[in-house]
Amino acid sequence: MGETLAALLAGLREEEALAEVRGALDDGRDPISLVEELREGMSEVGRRFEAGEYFLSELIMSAEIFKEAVALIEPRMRAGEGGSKGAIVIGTVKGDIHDIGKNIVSTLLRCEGFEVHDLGVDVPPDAFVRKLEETGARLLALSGLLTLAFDSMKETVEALEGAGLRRNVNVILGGGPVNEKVVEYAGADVFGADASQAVKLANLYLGA
Amino acid sequence: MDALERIETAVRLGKPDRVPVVPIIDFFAGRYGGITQHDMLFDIDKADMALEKTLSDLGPIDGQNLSYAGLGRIMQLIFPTPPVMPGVRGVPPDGQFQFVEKAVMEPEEYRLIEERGPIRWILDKMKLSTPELGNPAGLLKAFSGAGRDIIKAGRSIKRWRRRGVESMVAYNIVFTPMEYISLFMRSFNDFILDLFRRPDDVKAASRALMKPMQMQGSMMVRMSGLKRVFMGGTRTSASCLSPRQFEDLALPEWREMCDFWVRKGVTPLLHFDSDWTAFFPYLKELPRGKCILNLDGTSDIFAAKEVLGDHMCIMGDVPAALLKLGEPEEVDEYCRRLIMELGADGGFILSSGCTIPVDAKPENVKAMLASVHKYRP
Repeated sequence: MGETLAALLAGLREEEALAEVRGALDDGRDPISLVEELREGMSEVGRRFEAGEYFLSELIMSAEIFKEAVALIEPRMRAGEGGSKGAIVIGTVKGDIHDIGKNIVSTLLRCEGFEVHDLGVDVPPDAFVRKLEETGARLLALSGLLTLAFDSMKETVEALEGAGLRRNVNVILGGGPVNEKVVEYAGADVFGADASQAVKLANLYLGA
Repeated sequence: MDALERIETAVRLGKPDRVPVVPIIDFFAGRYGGITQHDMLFDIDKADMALEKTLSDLGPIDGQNLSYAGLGRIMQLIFPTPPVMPGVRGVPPDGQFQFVEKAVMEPEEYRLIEERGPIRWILDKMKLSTPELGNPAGLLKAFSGAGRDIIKAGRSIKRWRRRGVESMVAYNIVFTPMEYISLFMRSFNDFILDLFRRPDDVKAASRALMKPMQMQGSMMVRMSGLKRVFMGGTRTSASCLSPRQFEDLALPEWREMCDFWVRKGVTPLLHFDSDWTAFFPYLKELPRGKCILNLDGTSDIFAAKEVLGDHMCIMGDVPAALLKLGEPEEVDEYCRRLIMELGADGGFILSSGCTIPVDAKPENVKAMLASVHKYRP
């Protein structure tokens, strides 16, 4: 018996982790338990990131292995199996096309088990509103790197208020220059300083 | 001291008569001076007039850090993935200049760069986004347009110097091969995965691209007459790489590139966006008293002074968010701290982190520019 799937993922051993998943599926292992093991591995990666043992590159690589592994497992799962921890709408706000940070957060939230609706970049306020209404998501994550994005974040929060959604939807911000002052300016709830914090905030707000 | 002496003294770790102020001000000055961002990028005369109004209203500067003013055509040529340009391809004339994150090479191509010849390979990639470069007439047109702008930029550099404003780097923009690959060729995410999956291929590409990057920079230094190069660093920062990856892959490149410039008597202006704090100790391996470390407000600039203060000139870092959302008193207080703590024994240049944003409050910019006269360490 070799190392566990969680340990292989946390150790970023891509080929071995995927071989382990293929072998386990061939042996008829329960797909859900495999996903749980992978999530355990991702939790360990998160712990190492917070402890300063891992850096962003390792978060990205671990998320990639997770994605590849889940792609192998998914065809063996029954519809509705492995339910989501909650829906989140995410996007880079209007006028800004930076998407590196937003994509990383999207991926990590998916790995964590959230149902993520990523609207892409340069997203106008009403598109966020429509997606929140359509999905019933209670968390909105807005990203931006330009100072112009602060105004779009503010407009988006105002659009939520206009649509009567703000009371039930928490708004978190992210992006290089975003800080407490930007949260206040935009009328959001909080900001995440890095991708790992964004996942923590999602867990906090969606009670997972 | 004049502006040049003031800047050069700080770069060599000396203490000038006062701290020099050298922001990235072109985007803001365009808006403040009443021209569109398109005009700022494509018409150096209009950009200069807008800058003149800005400085006359808000206060003098000792120099301009990077400036894209009048360099729109050149940027369309030197960046293989053309940035979003105001007034070009459907972008509104007063839109925001932004880089585009797009992969234009496959992972298998790393090994092909040397085989194809790095310069020919780069040209192939540029033709993908700018097909007119594929025929001699188009190539001639593009380069003659850029050539005219280079001549105009040269005149502008001289005009501003006569008026006491030094251009730090003009269009002398150079990348290390890995920064270049990540920014323009592979996209951030794919590049990071490549570092895990095929580090030797990345190293081979880095070796192949080093010389063309140096050649491009040398050509620019000769044309501009400015013995400084702007080297952007983001993708190899501590925000992105682990220390092991940095040591193994990126640091050798930074060392080689900086040594190359210093040997030629050229000062590398290391414009380091994102968080470099954890990597500061490595930067001691770069030549002492010969480089400028320009931070954007994400790294801990006070830690930079502690670790590197006796090794390289520190430049920065009034944050963009503060210039947009803060009050003049807050800007003044932050600048005071920078000037008195980092400038106490010299080796410090006050700058924006990274650019003064287009929508900064004018009164905040005024407070920043005034601070170097108000506070004398």
